[in-house]
Amino acid sequence: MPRAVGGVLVECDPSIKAIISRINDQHNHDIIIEDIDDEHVLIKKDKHEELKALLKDALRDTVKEAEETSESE
Amino acid sequence: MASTASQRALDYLEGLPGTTFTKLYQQPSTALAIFRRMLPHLAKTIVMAMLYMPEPFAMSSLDTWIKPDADSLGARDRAISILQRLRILEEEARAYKLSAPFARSLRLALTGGGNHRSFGVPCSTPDEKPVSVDYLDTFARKQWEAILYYVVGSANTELAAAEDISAGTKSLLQKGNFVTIRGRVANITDTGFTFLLQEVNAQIWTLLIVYLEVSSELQMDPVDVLSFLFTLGSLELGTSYATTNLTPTQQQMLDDLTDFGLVYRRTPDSTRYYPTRLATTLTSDAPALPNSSLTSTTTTDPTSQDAAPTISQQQNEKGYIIVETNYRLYAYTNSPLLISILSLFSNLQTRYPNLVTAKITKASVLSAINTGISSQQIIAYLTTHAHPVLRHSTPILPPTVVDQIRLWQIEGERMTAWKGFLIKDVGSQADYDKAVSYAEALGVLRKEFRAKGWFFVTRMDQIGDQLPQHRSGSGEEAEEGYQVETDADGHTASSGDAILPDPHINGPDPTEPVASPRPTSPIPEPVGPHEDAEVPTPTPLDPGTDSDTDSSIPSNSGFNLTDGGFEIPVPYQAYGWHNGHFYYAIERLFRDEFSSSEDDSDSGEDTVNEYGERMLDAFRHDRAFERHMMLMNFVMLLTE
Repeated sequence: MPRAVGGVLVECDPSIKAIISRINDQHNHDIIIEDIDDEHVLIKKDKHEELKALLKDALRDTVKEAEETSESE
Repeated sequence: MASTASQRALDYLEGLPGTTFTKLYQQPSTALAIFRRMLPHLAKTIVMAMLYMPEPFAMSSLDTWIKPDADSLGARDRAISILQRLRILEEEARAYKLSAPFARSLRLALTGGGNHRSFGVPCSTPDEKPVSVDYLDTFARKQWEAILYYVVGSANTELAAAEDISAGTKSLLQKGNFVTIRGRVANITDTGFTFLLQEVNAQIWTLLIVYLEVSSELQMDPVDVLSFLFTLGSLELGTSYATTNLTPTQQQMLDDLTDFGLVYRRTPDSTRYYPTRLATTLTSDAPALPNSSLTSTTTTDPTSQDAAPTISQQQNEKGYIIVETNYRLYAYTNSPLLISILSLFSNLQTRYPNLVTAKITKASVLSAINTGISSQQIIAYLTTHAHPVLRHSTPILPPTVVDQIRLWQIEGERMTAWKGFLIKDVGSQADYDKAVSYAEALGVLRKEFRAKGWFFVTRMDQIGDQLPQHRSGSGEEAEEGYQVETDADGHTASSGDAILPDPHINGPDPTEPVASPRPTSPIPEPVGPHEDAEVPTPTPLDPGTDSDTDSSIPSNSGFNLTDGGFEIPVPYQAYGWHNGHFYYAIERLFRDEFSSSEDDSDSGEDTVNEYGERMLDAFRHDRAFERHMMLMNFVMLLTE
């Protein structure tokens, strides 16, 4: 029986996907509806903005150092 | 032909109701302005030919004028469509005729006569202190640049504040979403940035259209406002005109137009007004600000500007930026306005009398992106304003810089997201392929996950909303808008079939809206079922070839399902294409799929029911596209 599941399809790098999974784990698995593959997840519609903000925070913590080095010249 | 400026005006005009046009066309100046500014040449030719025709002009006669090749026919269709959208051309019994008020006004405008005064009334007494054209140009430039400064300056406070603009204009700029006020500070938006990048004439129209939209909220008659704008476009520069014959609305407009620099009045209660070049070029292609400092760049000798203002204007309009591969930027300009535009996305470093150096850095680009300016806009700006030296090379800008600006933007967007529906468990590989290619043909397929047999589609009504909607009534009495075919014929055709449910078993159920009686159905009675179980071709979806097709698919719906290479699977063909079957399927689909309480997936339950609701809704409102989507589901269902 075909099924249609409403939500937001997110496409991203595998590294970002890993971060999203981690965020999902930290939030009672309340974000991801369907883990599709390494680069795609289906998330709940109303969690999209929240996830964006959380991802931004997570990236700020992890990626910062790399940016600093590439910027210096 | 149509520049962006007249395109904007055209878009606005098209949205007006027909009665507004009738009133607008009472003014010869309006008819003439629309004729000369908004129409492609072919449309002008058609109008001129028909202007003195006493009888409607037969379509077949028009066709004899047009070469029967694709280009010419396309041009004819465009011309006719513009004329019809502007309510100039009326169609009547396979013939065209010009709208009567338009034709009358245009004849008056071309041949003179009448005392319509729509081209303005010059003052009968000469001004004691006549105002020179130069003075008017300077005034117009000062006013208009002040507005642009305000928009740019909102991002750059040191360079703003030089001139101030009226509170009315400020609120207009906010209404038009060129700036947003956060706290007490105005911030430029992406609309504002696009606005800045336009040529002056387009900027004026952009602002005036916002003005028109706001004016109707202020109880100003848009007809009055528009016809005054078109009148302004036909006035003569350097002549003073009397305010006495203006309507109260138009008198009120004079104040605002003075703020924009479109007209000049010595005192706010003066009985004469001078149109500036900004106004007189509203409906022509001439440059609106010939001695503008805002576009003044130092690539050409400044002294030569007075000699040939038009030519140097065109050179000045673009071509003052050099970008190097090391992200350094040299801008040959001394205009504060241009410099502040550059400062939106680059780090200014040094300023010389005729040159500014800057550097494009990650921080500067990201701050631009944060205010809503896209990397695309930055690149477009740098490209259109690239110095002639750079134009010798292709690509014009160093690719490294262009790529890096894009990458900086992408870096902030680590994930791309689409709203929509994930379709799972479609069935066999063949059915999956068919369903996917069907969704693809409709342009709703976003992504397919072949390995899993899933695919993702965007909103189901994405196309449906653009299609003609056939409604039986207000649409709220929805429950009667659809029905289940329960008559004996439909039953016979499907009986003995293991897949379709027996209608009498599923029969009318008061709790099921699907089972309501059919009296007010918008869908005609089915002509009759296919007694034969074999439908010879997969064409039944083509409404033109099979009278027995579901009449709910409008033949003018804009797409043909067979175009996408989608074939009806054999089991479906076997039952013919028949209203009754279709509705059985929908009903069954609805029951099985969307209202079953034993839904196993807890997370998706709400959305799945919502989906069912949407389908039902589509069904009630006779939305062709969503029905097609339902058909797709139906096909999946049948092939299980």
